[in-house]
Amino acid sequence: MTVSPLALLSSFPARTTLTRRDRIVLRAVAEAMFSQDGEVDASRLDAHVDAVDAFISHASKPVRFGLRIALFVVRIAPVLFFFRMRMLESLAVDERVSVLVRLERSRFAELSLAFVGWRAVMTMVFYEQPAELASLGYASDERKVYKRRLALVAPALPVPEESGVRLRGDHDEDEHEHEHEHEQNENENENESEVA
Amino acid sequence: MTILRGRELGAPLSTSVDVVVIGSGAGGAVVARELARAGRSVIVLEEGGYHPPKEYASFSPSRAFGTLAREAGLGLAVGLGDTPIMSVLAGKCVGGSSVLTGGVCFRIPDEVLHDWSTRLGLGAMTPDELAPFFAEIERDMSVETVPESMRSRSTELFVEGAARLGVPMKSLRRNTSGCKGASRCNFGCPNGAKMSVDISMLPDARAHGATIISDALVEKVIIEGGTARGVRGRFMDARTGEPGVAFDVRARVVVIACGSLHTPILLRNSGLGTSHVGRHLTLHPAFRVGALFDDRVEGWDGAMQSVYSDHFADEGLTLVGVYTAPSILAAAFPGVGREHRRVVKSMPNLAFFGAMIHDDGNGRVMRWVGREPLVTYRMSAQDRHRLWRGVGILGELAFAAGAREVMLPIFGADAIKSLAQLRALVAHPPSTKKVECMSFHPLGSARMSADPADGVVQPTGETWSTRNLFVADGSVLPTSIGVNSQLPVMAIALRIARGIAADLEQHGRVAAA
Repeated sequence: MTVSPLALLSSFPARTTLTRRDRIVLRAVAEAMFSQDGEVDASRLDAHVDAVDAFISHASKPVRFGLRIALFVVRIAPVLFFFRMRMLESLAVDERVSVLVRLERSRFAELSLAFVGWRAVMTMVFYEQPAELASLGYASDERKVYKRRLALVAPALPVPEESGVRLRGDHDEDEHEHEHEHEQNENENENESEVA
Repeated sequence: MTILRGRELGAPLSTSVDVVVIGSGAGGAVVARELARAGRSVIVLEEGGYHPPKEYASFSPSRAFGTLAREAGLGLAVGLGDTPIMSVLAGKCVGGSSVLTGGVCFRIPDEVLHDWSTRLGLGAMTPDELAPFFAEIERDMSVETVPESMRSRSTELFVEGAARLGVPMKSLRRNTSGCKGASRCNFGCPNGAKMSVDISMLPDARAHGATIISDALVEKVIIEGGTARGVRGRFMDARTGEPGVAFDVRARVVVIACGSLHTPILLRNSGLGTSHVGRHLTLHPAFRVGALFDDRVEGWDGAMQSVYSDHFADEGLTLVGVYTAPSILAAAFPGVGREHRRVVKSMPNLAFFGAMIHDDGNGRVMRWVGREPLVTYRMSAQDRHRLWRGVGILGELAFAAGAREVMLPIFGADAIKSLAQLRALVAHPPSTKKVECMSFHPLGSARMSADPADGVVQPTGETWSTRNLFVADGSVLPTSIGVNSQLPVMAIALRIARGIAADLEQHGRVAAA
């Protein structure tokens, strides 16, 4: 049987990690983290849980097991911190947030890490969506800084307009500005030497 | 570059070569290229997959970690005592960790080499002796100084803050060619500008006849009569990602270059029982602070790393400017729900300043359940002091640069809003366990020594206990070096490879006997 490389790429390794209950808990955490005011719709939260599951499934069995243990700690956090016989997923969103804040600030570093570890994974996956990146002001992968260098190393080279590198006209204007600045500096130097 | 993908090989493989190299990262790639150039038949076996630069260029950070990094980037060193749990990033792909580094290149500092060549008795490890190897690698890897024009605004603020406190900053050198400042080197350069070994070394090895096989897990080195004879392993299954079809490669020389986390495991699995295997691990614990400014920073525009300061090197600290993908930075932000969202939304106004500890090292790599090792690390009291000193320095630099708030790498801690607050915290720090620490340079777990009683390998890279079995990766470095380790690993691997090439006929006679 021939397997297409693309199929391999998308499915390698073909496994998931989270049980149905884990997924419910994770979704509840995701809602508290990213949608406290209902700003993220339900389908996106479901898709987020899928994406997180796919991501962690690349790790080895011990790491995946450790993550599931950590998720269990998060789940029973209301019992640990508020002595409430309810699991995290059955609390209202604002209550979940309070529990998770307590967990994050716990003086027991191991308890804190159970949540902080999951938060790191979930946040990384959530904020790489283009819409979320755009909401941070990260509009595109376009970069500008390196073009400063291009302008420095190859000012005389013809530059195609579509490259986005500053154009010859701009360069000429800059040169005029530079000459103007140079003249000003020279005048200032002359004034300083007169004062001296 | 054409390579064989083990996951597509359906039948067992059995072959024989001059040299088998296990691992295709910075160390293994150099050895493979050098010996292939010397006219030897070489096979490189890489546990990870092969993903050409054009493919990983389009990966998101999570896809890159999942595909290119060991444990999907979730690998940890368990802190013992008052030690933070540290994330340890290592590559698992053709090209190894070099695909995931920031590309920063340092030679081993002279004072470190002085220590090696005098106190540790490694007489050949002097700056003069190693200089030609460094120079050759620097040329082949296109090591260049990052121009000031490539600095991101985040880095400029770092430099400004440092200047106001009288801390000099220097430009870093990196192995790049045509860097466009995407600031995401550690997920595989999206522009193919980082000269990682999958771009710079392995194609050359391949052109000189080396065979590179991905998805090939080596489980054991075959040792007979105290001499390495080859390796045995299994190709990773295309569907499950677990070991499947078996292979064995007979060789006159076996070179292990699996990195500091896996070299000791393979040595142990192969029956090398010296007490030093897996011990003496150093990690260069690294941390960063976030600095919130009134003006937009947009630190993602510019080279990911472009400056450093060795001003505090005597105190065991190197300062480095650093930025990375916004989603990765956001992953370390404090808070939950609304509060977390608020901090994340301030991303365009945040700069990040980093530091790394030249650690004493007290880590250990052990076999555990499954194939991945258990890594433990106990931070020395001096390193804890260095850590808090570093946090204090970075915080002061941030305020000096005009930051309104500073986010420290402490779980659950609120942002610091004044120097007084910062100084009070550093004077009476919380448990070090609550510090967010990372490691990108695990070193020293199969260290080089002048005496068999002190280490695992000889200065030639050959193991003390087994003939024709060499180690050529970061695990042979006998102490931490206080600077990024890619270039040092490559230079030492080159030196080891030259030695193997020169003595190969003799190794062949030993193998034949």
